[in-house]
Parts: sequence; C-alpha cells; structure tokens
Amino acid sequence: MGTLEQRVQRLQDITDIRRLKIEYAQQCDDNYNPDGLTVLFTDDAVWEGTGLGRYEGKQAIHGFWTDASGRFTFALHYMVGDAIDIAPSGVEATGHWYLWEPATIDGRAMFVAATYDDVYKKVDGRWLFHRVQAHSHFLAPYESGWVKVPFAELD
Amino acid sequence: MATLEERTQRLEDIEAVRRVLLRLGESCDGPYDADTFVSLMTKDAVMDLMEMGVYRGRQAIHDFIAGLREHISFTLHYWCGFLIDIAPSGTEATATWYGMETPTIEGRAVLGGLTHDARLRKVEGRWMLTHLGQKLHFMTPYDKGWVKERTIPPIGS
Repeated sequence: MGTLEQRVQRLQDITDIRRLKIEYAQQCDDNYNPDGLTVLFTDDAVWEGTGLGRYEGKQAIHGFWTDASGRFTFALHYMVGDAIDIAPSGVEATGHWYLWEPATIDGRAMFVAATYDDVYKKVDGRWLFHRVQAHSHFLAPYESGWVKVPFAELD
Repeated sequence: MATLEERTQRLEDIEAVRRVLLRLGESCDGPYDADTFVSLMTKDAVMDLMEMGVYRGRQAIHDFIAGLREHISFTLHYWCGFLIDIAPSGTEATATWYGMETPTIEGRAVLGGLTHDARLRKVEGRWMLTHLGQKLHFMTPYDKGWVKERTIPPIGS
C-alpha cells in the first residue's frame, strides 16, 4: 500500500481525468469545437474511431474535429461508467468509458453508442489524452433503431 | 501546494456535492417530492429554467415542483458527467452536468436531453444549492425525435 500522500494523489488523479473526459464531452457538444478539443491532447496523440479513421498528431486531430463540426449540428455526449487506472509511474493512466450520444448528423436524428479505451499522460502537471480509441457499437437512425439499421449510411 | 488535509477535504467535498445533486435528481423522479427538493436549497435559492420560468426562494420553487405532479406521472433522471469545482474558500462550489429524462407527460412518452448548472454553498457543514439552472436541448415525444419535434409545448400551456 502506498503512503497517504500517494493514495490521495491517486484519487486526485482519477478526479482530474474524469474532469478531462467531461471537458472533452462539453467541447464535442459545443459543435465539436476544434480548438477546445485539440488542447486536451498531447502533441503526439492519436485519435482513432471505428469507421471514422485514425488521426495522429494535433494537426490531424484538429482537422478531424473541423470536419465533424460541419456534419454534426447537434450532439449530447453522455459519458458514463468510467473505470480509470493510474499507472505506478503516476504520469500514465488508462480509462474505459461508455458513451450514449443523441445527435443530429446530416440533418437526421441518430443514436450513437460507443465505448472508449483511452490512454492519458500527465504533462507539466496536467492530464491530457494520449490515445483515444472509440469503438462504435451503433449509429442508428432515431426512427428505425439499431436492429433494423445498426450503422446509418451518411451522406 | 495544499496540505494533505486540504486536498482530502476537496475530494470529500466533490463527492458530497455530487451526492446532493443526485439526491436532487432523485427527488424529481415521479412523483415529484417538492419537500425534499427544496430541503437541498438555501432559503434564497434561485431556480432558472429559462423557457419554463425563473423561481426565487424556497416557496416559489416548492410550488413549481409540486405542480409538476399534475402533468408528469413518471420520470427517471439519468444525471451524469458531473464537473464540480470547489472554490478556494472551501465553502462555495459550482457544478455542471448532463441529464437524460424519460417522462410520461400528459400520458405521452417523452425523451428529454438537458444540461444543468448549479452553485452551492456549504452551510453548517452541509452543501446546499443557491442556484440551479438548466438548458433544454430537446424534450421530444418518443415517437417523433428531436429533428421532427425538438420540444413539446411548455407544461401547462
């Protein structure tokens, strides 16, 4: 067991990483604010999503969010079920999350269901995303549901 | 850097605030429990529901919440995504969070998507809300969806 100092630090780190993920959600819901999102990543970060591609480095990630900003006119990112592990080093961590996202994509109401596997790094005392892997489970039109149409064809 | 005592206190306060907010949400799960709802607020609390009105003080808030029972027979408040800040004073806090709701309004299944914000004050060791706000993103009939009908007409209209 760690010292009291180490144990409190670990709880603080978990709290700070939760905050990072919610800030990410809020920026996504601010019309996928590319600047607001990119500052949450390390310089050499990778964002990857099922069917959405792989983006390496801040510039590529910024470009991805700029494109998303035009297609998603509305979204709410409900981030739940977080399981966060701080590595013994205290400067690396992993997180698993669930996402439930009502969204309007290309003018259509959709339900998006995903899970995330994240890797975080503490840089200059601040936790940032180092890897984000988003696993899409469905992207279903509101009217049809995920059995009839698990992945809607986008324009 | 803060002392270990101060750092632990902050973590405890974040958890205590989260619990107060979840209790508030639970008190709104039909049937609305207006007594519990206002017991979590200071006497001079303000509830700003934007298109649904601004309510100042416990009595006005109580009357509004109790009145919802006539229109909403069932709902669950899925509150998540809490972002809670404890002020350096340790006696004031702010919070934002996400809410999804599943009400039955006038006999109709409705799906609600909201974000909320609150300010809280620690009074005699207990966190209480001084301000509650919300932004309604959609409150759509279940058979419609937010693109076809973003919100139902305001309750009671």
